[in-house]
Amino acid sequence: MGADQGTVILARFRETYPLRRSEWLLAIAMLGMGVTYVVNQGLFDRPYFSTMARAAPQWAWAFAFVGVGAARLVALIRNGGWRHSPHLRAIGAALAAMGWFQLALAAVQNDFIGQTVWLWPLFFIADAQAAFTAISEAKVNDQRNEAARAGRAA
Amino acid sequence: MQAEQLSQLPVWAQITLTVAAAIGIVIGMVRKYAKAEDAKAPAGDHMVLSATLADGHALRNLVDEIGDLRTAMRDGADQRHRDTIALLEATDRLCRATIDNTEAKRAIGITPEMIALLDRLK
Repeated sequence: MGADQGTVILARFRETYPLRRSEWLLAIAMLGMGVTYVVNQGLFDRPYFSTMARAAPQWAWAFAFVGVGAARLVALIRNGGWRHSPHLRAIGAALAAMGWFQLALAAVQNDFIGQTVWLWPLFFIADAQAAFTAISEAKVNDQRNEAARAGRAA
Repeated sequence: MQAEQLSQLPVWAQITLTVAAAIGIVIGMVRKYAKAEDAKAPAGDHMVLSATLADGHALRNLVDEIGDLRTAMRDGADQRHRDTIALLEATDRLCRATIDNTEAKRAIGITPEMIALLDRLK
């Protein structure tokens, strides 16, 4: 990679990061929680996780959280520095929102007057909004690609 | 105070809520996709540009200046070198003026590649 290309990629990240800050942070949070589920065996035996445990075993949640978190980070890196991929970001944010929704259900039932009842519902809303924003960008991207194709065909 | 555990929702209620949330997100995404429009202005459309920018007048003047310089470069070969430098400087000022305004950059099509190119040319 040449120095010029490096400058361009860095400039793109500097431009896009402030707009996607919540996506970056929530993707890292999801990946980190997935890693926690992998290494902390027996975590889902705790009452807090009973709501999630009856939906799927811990290994399945670990697989889903690590997979979605890592895929979102790849999409953000690719979208921020190399190619436009808002479709991937939108799908990743929507899937992550459903993960946060399960944690929100767990918190409402098992930590009703605890602290986490304030975290997961807001994570869910943040990622749902990120999905809406990314899908709007995807539409703009599709329109520009269509216009470019029409221009080449003319 | 200890965290409180409520009685567990039945599984069917948990599934129903999850499906409802998923449907809500999908419907929201479909609506957003349907409503989104490209904000990018056609090249040279100063009226759209000025309406989009926070400081429309100053930047429109810069755009006009760039247009004048481009015309001068096309018409007068003896001034070409000086005009090229002036054009680059004016373009650079325009890019810098919009660097923190993503909507403005999108409206006039300033890309990170353009800013990197200007850095290289200076």
